[in-house]
Amino acid sequence: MTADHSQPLLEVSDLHLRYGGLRALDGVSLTVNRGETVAVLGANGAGKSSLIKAIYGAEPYSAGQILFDGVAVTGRSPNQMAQAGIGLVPEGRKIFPSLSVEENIRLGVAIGGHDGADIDRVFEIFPELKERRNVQGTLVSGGQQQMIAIGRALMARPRLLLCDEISLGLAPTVVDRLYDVIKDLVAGGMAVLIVEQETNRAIKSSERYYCLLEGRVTAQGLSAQADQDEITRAYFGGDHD
Amino acid sequence: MTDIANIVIQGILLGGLFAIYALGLSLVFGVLRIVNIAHGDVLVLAAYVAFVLSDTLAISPFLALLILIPLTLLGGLTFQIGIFERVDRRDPLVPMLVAFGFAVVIQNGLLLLFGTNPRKLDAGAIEQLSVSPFPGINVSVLAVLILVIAIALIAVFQAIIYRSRFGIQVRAVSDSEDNARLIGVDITATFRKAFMMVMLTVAVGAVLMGIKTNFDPFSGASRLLIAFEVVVIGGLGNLWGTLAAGIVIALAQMVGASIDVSYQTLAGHLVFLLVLVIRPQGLFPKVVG
Amino acid sequence: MTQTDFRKSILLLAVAVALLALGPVLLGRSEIRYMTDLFVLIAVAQLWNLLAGYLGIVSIGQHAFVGLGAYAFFALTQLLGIHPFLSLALTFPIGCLVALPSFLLLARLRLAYFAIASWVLAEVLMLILGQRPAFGGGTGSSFATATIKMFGAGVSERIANTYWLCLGMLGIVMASMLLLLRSRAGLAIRALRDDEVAAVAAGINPLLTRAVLFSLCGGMLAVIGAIDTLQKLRISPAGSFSLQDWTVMIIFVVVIGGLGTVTGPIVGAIAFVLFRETLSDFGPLYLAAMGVLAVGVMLLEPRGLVVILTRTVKSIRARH
Repeated sequence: MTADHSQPLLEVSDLHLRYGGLRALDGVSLTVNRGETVAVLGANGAGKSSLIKAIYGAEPYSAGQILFDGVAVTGRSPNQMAQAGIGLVPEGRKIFPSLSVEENIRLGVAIGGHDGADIDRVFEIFPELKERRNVQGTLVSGGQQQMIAIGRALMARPRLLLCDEISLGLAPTVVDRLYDVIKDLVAGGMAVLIVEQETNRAIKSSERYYCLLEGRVTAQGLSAQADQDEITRAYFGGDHD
Repeated sequence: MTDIANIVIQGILLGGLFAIYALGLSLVFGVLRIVNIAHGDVLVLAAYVAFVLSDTLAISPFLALLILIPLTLLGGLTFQIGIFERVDRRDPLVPMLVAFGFAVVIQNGLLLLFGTNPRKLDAGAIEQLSVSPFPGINVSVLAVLILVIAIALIAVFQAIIYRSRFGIQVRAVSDSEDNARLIGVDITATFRKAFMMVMLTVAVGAVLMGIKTNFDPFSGASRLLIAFEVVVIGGLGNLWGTLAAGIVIALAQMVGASIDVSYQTLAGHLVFLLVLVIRPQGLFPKVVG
Repeated sequence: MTQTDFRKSILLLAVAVALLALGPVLLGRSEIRYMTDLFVLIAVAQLWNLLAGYLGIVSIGQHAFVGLGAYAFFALTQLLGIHPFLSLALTFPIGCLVALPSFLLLARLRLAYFAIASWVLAEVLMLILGQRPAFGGGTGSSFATATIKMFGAGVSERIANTYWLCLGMLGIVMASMLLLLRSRAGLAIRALRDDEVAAVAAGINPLLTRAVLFSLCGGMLAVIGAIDTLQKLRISPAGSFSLQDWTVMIIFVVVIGGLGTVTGPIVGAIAFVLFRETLSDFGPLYLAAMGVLAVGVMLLEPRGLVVILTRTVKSIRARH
């Protein structure tokens, strides 16, 4: 049975998520289509990370539905999501100090259940990692750690890649490189959901965007037509000068 | 001179047995981060099972080991699924106290079933065999066998942990369970498989212990202390360090015993405390692999 | 705990102690013995509860200090000929002085390591003291009758005096705990177990606080160990340093009753004594049953019987 390619790859409907009494997500809906790059913008605490974690199954949500490729994925664990075809590049990279660069990347196979020939592909994309393959994972630069995190997620051959704040703490040239890689991946058919604080970068790199504020979508649209003022308002809320 | 040589050789050989006790505990502490205070009592429990198997089926303990291994694996898995996975691990005290409760249940259960009489596993002629490589030096064949088994076990585990895909998962989980879970590692499956490895050491250690020494329902405490001291001295994460540390403690005990028999355990404890003061991270702490 | 709570608690304690002090007058000999055991059990349990439940120090070697107290008392009275009352008092500083370096030696160790290392220390102490010929080696020694008679010429008198000593000891432990927890430092100290950062922010030095309190507890345990010899009438390595009586049972009592609460150890101790009386004929069975109970409580409600009971009471009330 072939998948219905007119259907969105990811469909999030009316997602609600609470941390104790705090409402992290208050009815969020978004879609990501195949081969599309979608950006989620918002200030700290707006709910971006909660959204990513909820999609990835790392955070249970109280209401709403998530469909991946037409299939409801409510209540699945991160491990199951990875096997279903969603890859996570987590906030803060989460590289393991006990593992070498190569082992950190190979960890992705354990997660996604695919076989390990893909590491060569990762090394092609990031040759600097190949040079340092036996170095302790946490001893390489921040940018290279981010590459490891991306490579790790790629090992499970995801159809949708979730990128949580990959530009944090990195120099602009490094970030440029990372986004180039993502562009290539998208060209190869992958869908990508980017969560970014750097608004301009996110808008430039995506086809569509959503803006979150206090757990709600306050703006959305085509990135090419994004209006700076509208986004600022949606980002910060209310009238700001 | 030959006395010293004998002490050293005995120490090295006994160190192998201690290393086997410690191997399981090292995995439990270092990877699973469970404080299994019942480790020694589980060893003794397995020894009693081996005793029953060996006695009722009239087979050699080594043969009983083959039956014991699947039994301990099954027992461990049952415990894992039934008890450990239901424990709230946010407070590290809770699983420790659960293990504590289990230790007491095992001890008293064994006491009720078997009484206080010390038991021993009978391996037959091999227990008496010894070779004399040099005049005045006697080496027990059984002890050499134990050391060889210890080395083999360590080599296999080392290979699993540092060269296999599963090993990568295990090391990631031991670094940070939360991060590993977040990026999609199947924590439950990892813990279960690691626990199986621990149970294997328990089965092997129990049989070897039972052949070499007497055991009774309360022997678990002293095994736990030995295993613990070896783990701490060896430093977590380095399995060969565990062997070295086992030899250190065993040598300390042998030296103590040569001064006065009653000093044997004390000597081991004192060396442990000494290392704790001088080098609390252990003699061979974790290396990235 | 507020000022009024504290005053109420102290008042309650004083009334309880006063009432209980009438015990030897009203009760029979075996009841007096049970009560004495209960007082000691609660006192030791409260001490372990203070360390583990509030300060985050989990020791499974506290039997070291109990045994130390017994042996020190023996040494002072029998070997040095010091007056028994003075000797009893001296066991306190002796306990403190041994406890302090012990704690500092292990202070860097985390939870499980500290716990087991504390056990190793206890073993070492037992092995060293237990081998001294002056203490009778492995079989131990008895106290001279003259020493024992200082605490009462006849058996009834001694039983009563021991009762009051233990009650007094319990009173001191409880009052100290209430005072400690209620003081300005108290709130911060309670944070030491769960949120050390908050405690430090409140001006508490964790290492110093823990070291001091651990030492004081060591001292009190030593006194309890000394008092205990008045019932045992002798010292021996296995008996005085009993892991079972002074650590295992205590941990069960606290854990089952409720760690980190003042009432928990009391509830747990009562439950324990009841258990023991009903099952004592069955020997190891009651210990195994305690173990099962402990595991069950940990799985179902780690906060212990106190919480289970209050929840049951609340739900009964809610239904009416």
